[in-house]
Amino acid sequence: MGNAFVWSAIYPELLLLGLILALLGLEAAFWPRRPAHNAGYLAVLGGLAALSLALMEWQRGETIWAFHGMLVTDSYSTFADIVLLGNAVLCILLSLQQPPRLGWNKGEFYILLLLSTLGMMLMASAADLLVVFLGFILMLVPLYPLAASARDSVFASEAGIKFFVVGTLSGLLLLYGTGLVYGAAGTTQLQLIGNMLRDAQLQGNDLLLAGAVLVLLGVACQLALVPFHMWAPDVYQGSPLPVTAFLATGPKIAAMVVLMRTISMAFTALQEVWQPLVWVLALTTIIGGNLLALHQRSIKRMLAYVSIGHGGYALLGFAVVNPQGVTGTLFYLCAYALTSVGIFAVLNIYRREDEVTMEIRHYRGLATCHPVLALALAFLMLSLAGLPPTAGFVGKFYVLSAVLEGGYAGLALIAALSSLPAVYCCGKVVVAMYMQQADEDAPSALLAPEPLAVLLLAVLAVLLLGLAPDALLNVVRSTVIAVV
Amino acid sequence: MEFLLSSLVLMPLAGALCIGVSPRRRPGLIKSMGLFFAVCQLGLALLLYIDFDPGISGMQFVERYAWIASMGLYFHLGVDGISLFLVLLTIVLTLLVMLADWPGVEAHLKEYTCAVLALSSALVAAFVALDLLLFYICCEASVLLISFLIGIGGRRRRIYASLHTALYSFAMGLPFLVALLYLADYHRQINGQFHFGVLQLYELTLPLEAQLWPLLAFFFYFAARLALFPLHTWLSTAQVAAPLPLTILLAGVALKVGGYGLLRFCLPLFPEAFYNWSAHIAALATVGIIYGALLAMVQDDLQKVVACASTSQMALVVLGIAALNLQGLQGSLIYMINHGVATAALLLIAGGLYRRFQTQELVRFGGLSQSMPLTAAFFLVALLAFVGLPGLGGFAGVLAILLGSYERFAAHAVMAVLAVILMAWRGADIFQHSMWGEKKATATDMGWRELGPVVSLLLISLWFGFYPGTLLQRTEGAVEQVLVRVGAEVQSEFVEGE
Repeated sequence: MGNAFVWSAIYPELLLLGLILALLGLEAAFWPRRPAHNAGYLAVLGGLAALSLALMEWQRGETIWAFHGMLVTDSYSTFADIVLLGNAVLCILLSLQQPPRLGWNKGEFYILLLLSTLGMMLMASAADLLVVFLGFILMLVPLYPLAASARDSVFASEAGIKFFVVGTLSGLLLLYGTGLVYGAAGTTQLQLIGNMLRDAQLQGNDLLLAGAVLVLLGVACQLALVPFHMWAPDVYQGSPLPVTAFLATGPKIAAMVVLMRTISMAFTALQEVWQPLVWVLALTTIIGGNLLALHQRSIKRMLAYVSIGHGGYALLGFAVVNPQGVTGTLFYLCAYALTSVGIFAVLNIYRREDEVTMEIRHYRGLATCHPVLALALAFLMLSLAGLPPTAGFVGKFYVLSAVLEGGYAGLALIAALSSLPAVYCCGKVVVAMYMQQADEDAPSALLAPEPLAVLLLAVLAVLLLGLAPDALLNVVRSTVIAVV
Repeated sequence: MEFLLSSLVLMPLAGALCIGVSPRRRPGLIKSMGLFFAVCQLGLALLLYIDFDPGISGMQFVERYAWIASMGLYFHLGVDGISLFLVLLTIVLTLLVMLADWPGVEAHLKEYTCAVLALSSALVAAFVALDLLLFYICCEASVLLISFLIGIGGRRRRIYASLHTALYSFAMGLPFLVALLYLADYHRQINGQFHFGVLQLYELTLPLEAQLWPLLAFFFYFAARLALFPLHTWLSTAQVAAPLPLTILLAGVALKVGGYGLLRFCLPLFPEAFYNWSAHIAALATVGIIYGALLAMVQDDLQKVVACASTSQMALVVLGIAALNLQGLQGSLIYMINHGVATAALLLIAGGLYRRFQTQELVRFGGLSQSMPLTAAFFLVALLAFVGLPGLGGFAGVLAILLGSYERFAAHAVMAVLAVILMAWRGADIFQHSMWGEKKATATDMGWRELGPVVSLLLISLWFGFYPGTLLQRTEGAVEQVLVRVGAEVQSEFVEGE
């Protein structure tokens, strides 16, 4: 069950921690009056360094158990680390150039963002329910101030408070579930719980069952699954755009990754209990999220609801419990993250000063004044709606084919049809850009190099994953062995 | 001619890319580039026609490259008698769209030209795709482009029409996608390979009870594509709102994807279920034929008349396919081709009228033959070709469909004849009220620049009317192949049924 201190298992995490401490020191001692960019660029560089460490770890491809079986570093966790770090770097790049009046991107902004990423990485390699909880809290706590960082706005306070309440609640559910599981099994290590269940020592133990369900629900809150979704639109709306981009992607990926690991390592034997629950959650999320998106006028709220629906699709792949499905889920998350970050990059470029009130109608006439920007956004909207030839389509295709492979044709049909409202919502944006005249109060474009680079990267990646997804799919397929 | 089909598909895409990077400020350059690529595509299409061997009933010019192996997607193309003329039709009509001016799109000329080229590529690819997933992707891409074009260049209620068209097709397309996945997964269970190749899927013999719901998903998808009652409402919305040149591609080609899909996929993949359900399908088609004809009687907008009549005529195609015999199937196929030609000619003239009067409402026209004698003459011929008069292209198709369906569904065929007569009457009525009668409007006659495309289409129609052998000879082998796939079992039942 692994040695005590295998530092080599957590090199990327250690590097990130060092970076955070260094930034904290620099901020406090030397850079209090410097522009925040310095911290931002350093954070990007450090993130890239950690990313390359994670890539090297990926290449070694070892499975290392460390810290008395509390952590496991394998290709699955390394893959998640790479995705999470990449996502964090992109979000930091997005936040570098902001209108100076807003002024929320001070040095601590980047520190908090990196700290949250560290929590997510911890979740990805957690092999113990307590570490899951630790990672969960480490991910959430820095996000509360981030969500509220646009301090003059009343929406920001609302976002901060709501996120704090829901985050605490989900943390409590998770912790309480962990407690119950410990009470039943006498351990919090996922592997040991799984072994006990397999050996039928704990069959029919209601305490364990309740604990497992609570753990699932705690994570479900963070995935914004319907009916635990109410916080998401308000939080997305009140947060500054780069934070929204980060909130919409990072925690979702981390929560999904940890959910798959926890359930498949510890609770596989309880499949007949959690599988129906996951099915119901996934379907209600897909249907609910997409339907609620229909009537949104604010673009951030609309994206929030659509992204809730996407969380449901990602969960759907896992609900089938076959390698194909888990591959689909991971691919889906990557495609979704790239698409979302790209869309938020456009939102960040073409914006009003008061971003809370950005509505879809503000995008009217974008095709005439910024044709390239409009084309990029239209393409990303295609991906968000899951239409070919984009990464979003491949993801949806893969998830649906896994569901069919599992033999659930009816559910696949429902899931497929439920994506229609999302198509409509994304269509509305394209309609506004290409088919309607610009309003008087049209926003202006802030053409800074960093968000443009993020946008270019996202569009190219979405196109590449749409036309030639084989490379990534093969990588994903080799990683999911760890959890299936 | 190894890469003929892929160059047919990719050439317009390359054209769209070239136009995409050319400067927006030079509309003349954009237009002539669009025209250039359309002409090049036509040249390739002529090569295809010349090299096509009528003696072979299977696929020709086959190309197959792995595209996304893990999804089972192959870039698998091939052409046979069923798709040959539909490909040619698409390419000819694309050229006409490029030739036609449309003042509504000046602000978006670049996007418009790119989208028309891409649409041509998507439609050609849909007709030559031998991979069901590729077919699905091309179909959805074509709908997306059509609704985009309606949205940027359309007339009144264009945004509504644009979203309506797109959502209609996607709503029907999603069950279709699930049915595709189901077939591919079934193939994997039997043969261990997850893919969508049509030729391999033909070999699958699904049990009857497993055929039913995929058949329904397929059928309703194609029914929506060819605007079969009760899934026809999008067509008149789209036709009335679309930029005029686009209506030619919409009614002329995009509808045919549905009929083609029925012939190529629905029938051979689910023969027994199709046979069992053919009576219901024929009944639905008959309702559609009559309903469309009745709608065409009362519409007062020329564009809507064409849309409703097309609904009825496409339902006739479905009736011919439901007959499940050589006459019916082949009649449906050649009728679709002729319908495309005749509709395009009619819509070109309708477009000329719109340019002069800013309306297509029939009450506004009257006595036009006095000021526009040439237009009136060709309008008459186009109307006659549209309603299927002997001597013009449509007739052979109608006759074959009616004869074929009479063998199995006599009552349906009789009702269809009534509807056809009704529409012929409506055609005469339209001509009388717009071109003859009280003089309500005058305008300059159409010149040869406008009439040239009309005349060439009418000549094609005339050729097909007098020498239907051109079509019959090339399509027969492929249609027989479909019937063979429908299977001995079905045919024997059919003989017993008689």
